[in-house]
Amino acid sequence: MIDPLTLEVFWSRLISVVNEQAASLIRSAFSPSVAEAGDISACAFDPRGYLIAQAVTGTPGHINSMARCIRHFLDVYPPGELAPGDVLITNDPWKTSGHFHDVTVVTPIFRGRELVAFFGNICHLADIGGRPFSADARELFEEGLFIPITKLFIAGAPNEELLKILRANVREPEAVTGDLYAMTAANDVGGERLLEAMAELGLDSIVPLADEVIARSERAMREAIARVPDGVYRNSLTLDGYDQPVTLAVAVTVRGDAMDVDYAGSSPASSYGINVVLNYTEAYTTFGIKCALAPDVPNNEGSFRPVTITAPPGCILNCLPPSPVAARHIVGQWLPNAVHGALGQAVPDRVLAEGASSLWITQLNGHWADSRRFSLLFFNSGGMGARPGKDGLSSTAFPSGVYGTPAEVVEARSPLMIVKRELRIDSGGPGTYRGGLGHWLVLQGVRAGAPYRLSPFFDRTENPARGYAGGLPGATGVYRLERPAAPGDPTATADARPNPKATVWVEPETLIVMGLPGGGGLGDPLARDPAAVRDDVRDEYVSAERAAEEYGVVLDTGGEVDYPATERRQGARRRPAQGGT
Amino acid sequence: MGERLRAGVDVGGTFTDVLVVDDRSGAFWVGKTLTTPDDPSVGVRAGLAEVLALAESQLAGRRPAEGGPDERGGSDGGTPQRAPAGNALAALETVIHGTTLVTNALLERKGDRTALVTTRGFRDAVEIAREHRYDMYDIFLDLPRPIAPRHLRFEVDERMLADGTVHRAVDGAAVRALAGRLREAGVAAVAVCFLHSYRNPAHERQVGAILTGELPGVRLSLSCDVSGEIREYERTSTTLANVYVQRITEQYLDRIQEELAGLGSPAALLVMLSSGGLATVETARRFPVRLIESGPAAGALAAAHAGRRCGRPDLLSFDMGGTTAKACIIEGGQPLVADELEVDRVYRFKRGSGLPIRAPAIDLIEIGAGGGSIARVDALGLVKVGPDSAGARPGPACYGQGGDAPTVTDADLLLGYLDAGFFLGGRMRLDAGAAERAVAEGIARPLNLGVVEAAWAIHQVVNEHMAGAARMHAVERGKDLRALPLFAFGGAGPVHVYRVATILGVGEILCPFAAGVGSTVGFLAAPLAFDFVRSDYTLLDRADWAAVDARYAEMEDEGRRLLLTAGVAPEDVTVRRTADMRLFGQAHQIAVPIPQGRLRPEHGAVVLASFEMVYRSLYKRTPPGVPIEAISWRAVVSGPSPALDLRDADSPEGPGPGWPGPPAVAGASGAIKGERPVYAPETGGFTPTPVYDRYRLRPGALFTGPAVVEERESTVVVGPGATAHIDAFRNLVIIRPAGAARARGPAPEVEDRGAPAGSGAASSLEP
Repeated sequence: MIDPLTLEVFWSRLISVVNEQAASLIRSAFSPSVAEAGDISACAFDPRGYLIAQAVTGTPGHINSMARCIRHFLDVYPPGELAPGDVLITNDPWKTSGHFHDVTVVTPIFRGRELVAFFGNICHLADIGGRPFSADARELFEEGLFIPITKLFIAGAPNEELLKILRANVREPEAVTGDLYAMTAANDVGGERLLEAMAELGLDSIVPLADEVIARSERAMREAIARVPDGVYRNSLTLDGYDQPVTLAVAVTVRGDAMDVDYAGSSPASSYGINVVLNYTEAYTTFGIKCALAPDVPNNEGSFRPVTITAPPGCILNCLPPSPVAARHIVGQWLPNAVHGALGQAVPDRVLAEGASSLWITQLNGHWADSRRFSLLFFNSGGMGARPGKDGLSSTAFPSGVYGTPAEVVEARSPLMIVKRELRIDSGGPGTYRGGLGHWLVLQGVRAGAPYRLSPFFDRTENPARGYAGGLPGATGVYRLERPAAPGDPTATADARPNPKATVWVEPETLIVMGLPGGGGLGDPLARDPAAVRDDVRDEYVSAERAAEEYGVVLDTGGEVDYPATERRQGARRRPAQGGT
Repeated sequence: MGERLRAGVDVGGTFTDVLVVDDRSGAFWVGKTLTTPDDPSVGVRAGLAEVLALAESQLAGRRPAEGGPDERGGSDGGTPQRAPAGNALAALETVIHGTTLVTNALLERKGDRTALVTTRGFRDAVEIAREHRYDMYDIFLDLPRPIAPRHLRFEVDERMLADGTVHRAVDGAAVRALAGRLREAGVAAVAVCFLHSYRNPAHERQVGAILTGELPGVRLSLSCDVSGEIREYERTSTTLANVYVQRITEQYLDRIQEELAGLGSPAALLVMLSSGGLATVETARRFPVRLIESGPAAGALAAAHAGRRCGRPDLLSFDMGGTTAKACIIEGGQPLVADELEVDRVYRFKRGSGLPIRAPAIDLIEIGAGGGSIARVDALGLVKVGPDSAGARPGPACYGQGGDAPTVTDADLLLGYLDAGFFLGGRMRLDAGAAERAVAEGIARPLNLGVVEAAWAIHQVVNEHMAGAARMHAVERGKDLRALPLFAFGGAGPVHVYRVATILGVGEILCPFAAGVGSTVGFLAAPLAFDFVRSDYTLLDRADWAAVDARYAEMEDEGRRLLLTAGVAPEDVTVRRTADMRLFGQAHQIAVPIPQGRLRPEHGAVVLASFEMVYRSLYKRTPPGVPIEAISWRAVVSGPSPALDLRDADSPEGPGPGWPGPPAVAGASGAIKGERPVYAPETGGFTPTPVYDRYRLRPGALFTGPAVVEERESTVVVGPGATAHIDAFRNLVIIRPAGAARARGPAPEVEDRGAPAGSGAASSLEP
């Protein structure tokens, strides 16, 4: 029998312990995607390997990866073979988080000689060798160094043989070693705090409390699912892909308090690095479900149990080795939209319209005019889909939780100048609630000494974010390279539209033009409050022409709503549109 | 010689607190008047007048009979004639003021119609912000609204590069045309924020000069003046907030000065900054955004001051009130200072949900955990407390004002920590029946617990929450809280501190006497100080030390000029230099001390060594071979810290009207005013526990827990087995049983004294 008061204290403490573990890692990590994006996760497991608590960090992509990874570690090193001071490591994409850059470190925690818990974390390293971060690889082996499950520390001493190989294979050996030490130290922080709590609460084992937390989480998740009407809800989306469009098909089956999510019918694996391992598919699927149904239920073994997620082996959402996987986020980050499109048929007020979906990531490598090397990675986001009762957020990451990088930091860290960073007028999908706007981002290598390398990770340049419940789609993304007009050179303005996922070399004077996609609208645009349309026009989120065309709202010369003209226009628009949604 | 008086005035939501101190004798007087929200300066004047009159009468009354045994040594003993009327008023040299005006104006969006002028292509930087959702799972969240809407954001075709070179010059004619558009838009305030102005402010200055000429009467702030730091979103947000509240701040400060003049006082007005420094009215008028946290800053300064006096320069100040709890690390007698804060949070306590303000501020963590915080059962069937609060109205169920949600105060009452008949010194009766019903309905029944168990669960969950938040705060700063005594104040702080200390593993707890005057003490303990910062990303081994030296000279000259203008003697000026540095590629920077005086290339090695020392103290080891990067250079230019030495507790006439109750008694047992059952898990439930009257406990009094110590504003709960004594400064010092070995400093060796064990045992340390 669990003492309810001990459970209260234990649970509060455990949340605080994993948050501390995450904070410790974020503070001391080197990788730029940790710096600007919080691209890490931190977790506690019971001695059986059940995930019991996970810190909320910048990336949903690690949710289930962490939960699954521990089994794989225990297959290789059963608990009986682990000793105090051992630390385990891997970056096996299929066993943890889907690409080589994400390295997982797991530490068994001992109380005396008894194994009482595991702490684990994932961190996106600054470099892992192979090609610079891009979607271009045709095989896994091009994407960097593969670290199978092995020991990073053996009874407290670093595994120098492993570190030798690692340091020889990466571009920034000091930063990478520094990150691995930071990850190890973060698990130690978690373990130390847990042992203190066990001493204070007089616990010999955390298993009974873990069982209780897991059972309660499972119950809460089941209750949330049971509130969704039974049925099979299907959805299908198309994204640009690398060299050909990719279809994601999903069937969500709700039966009582359990849910199956199956991706049969999705495209086969790509021959480029945009493939997704099942762990990562599960992570973004879980995230989508949680946002819609159970934002307050914590991630742990219990909350995962009621949901089964499957995808046919070899499809792009359950790719097999040696499929390349470096840019798996491009596809994976569409899954919350896929799930919401299906679930929305059952719970329309709990989901949002499609948004820009995947982050637009830019990786730059090259040299300054004085021949110093530079390498820069930054993240940008288009518009979020409109929400029941609210407009979509403009240029805000979803489902990812990362940050953009300030223009001044980009310019201090690289020879590029940001020419423009401005919201894209009319990019938000019209609707009763408007989709969020994307933005223009224009860059030029004004202080670069020579052509530099650009690896883009852009999608939705052909497939817009669809509207929902009568809302219209957001604007598609734009990506082109422009050479500015030079006097006397008639060909100079000819612009290029390279593949938005292929690495290219860019001349210093060339403008990189990125127009990030907008989010889809929700509900009939004609039903939008004309005063809201007026405000959108005043703030140039929407042009006067589009206000008239899409919303049927006519403004007078003073910018106020011309109600009689608006009524006439909307009346004319409604008749032919009958039954059109 | 006569008195030298200084006054601290804190305008709070309900009360205006005034503390007047005579720096020559340490005598002080306190007063409390109702805040006058429509024009707070009226309340300030009334409060000051009241306390000065009190000071006047006491000074006049005691002059002939001067001469306590250990204080006021001959300060004015040689002038036994009656003081002339208005003597106290004439002796008042400075009035130090803290205000929530700026915060409120931002929260309520009551500032001026404000325009933003940016570099071409960047008018949306302030709206695109960091492209981040501050809550992972809430798809319905809202983002903070920029102060200037998009139609009031304008661009100038100019461009500076990151190294400070001009890429495109300013076209003066275009700026004059822009001035016309601003005039047409009817704006009363303009913020100018160009890219890389932290590196080269020339364009901002040029445009600022033109706009000043073209737009008389319009308030103007340049980002290079308000916040000279890299990161355009944060700098723009700060500059906008500054100019947005400038006019109302000016008007407010003018009114206070008028009221002071009306009172006939010659005193100079100084204003408390968020950083814990004081500034002249002139500075406050230019940079109102630096006043945002002036109230909380004063609380932390008061804790730091008390810690310095009693030999605890390092501690954690813990202030728990009705709706929130705040914690702040005090190190070396000074509160830690952060470079940024947030205002107008959409989610009240969620980082990232407010407008960022880049300005030095006392580094507090504030969470939604207070006496009024509401408890409920969450989706997992576990107790959750806060962040929503029952506030003052309806308040906790036990207030009997119609609230029926169970709160922390209700739980504290049911556990015997509070006395229904002595809340606020008996001014308010608590309804234990209502508390019991609320806790039973809201928590006990759904969880199938007894009411007492449910109350204990609420108490413990809120304690865990506060301890967890404090520990996160410490981890993020590389500090270990276990080494820091807890300094507890605020209405609920002393009630909860014992359990919070237990969770944190802290051995020693200090509860100051008469915490009611806490903030105003902070005002009087602060020095005049000005903060400066210049950003410039540079690798340490490539640093241009002549340029760094020039930056410091520029910042420090300005600081000296401001201090001299405010009347500080040149020899009293001190400068503290630090730089924000990190290993290249790291996310977070650390503050590294920079040598004084002229900087030369050979200082590179000194700075490198300082960096490594600070880094290792935080992270144990420095990874080899990683270059070090400097981000920003900072200087704090300060006047002298006032030698505030309040002679409160044992002064023969007491400290003024804030002094209730009978005279203190020597031993502890004489201070016991009763006994009641109090819950402690160590004893398995309720134990009859002695209740001490704080006002009758004299320095040296010693007793052991369990015990409850009551004063008007709060109640200290001491757990079983702990030892408590009153120190020379009338702080109540608690040593936890398990933590006694960890306690540091000049705490009395209580075990050696053979303090009797068992509840309520009392003795005295005095011979």
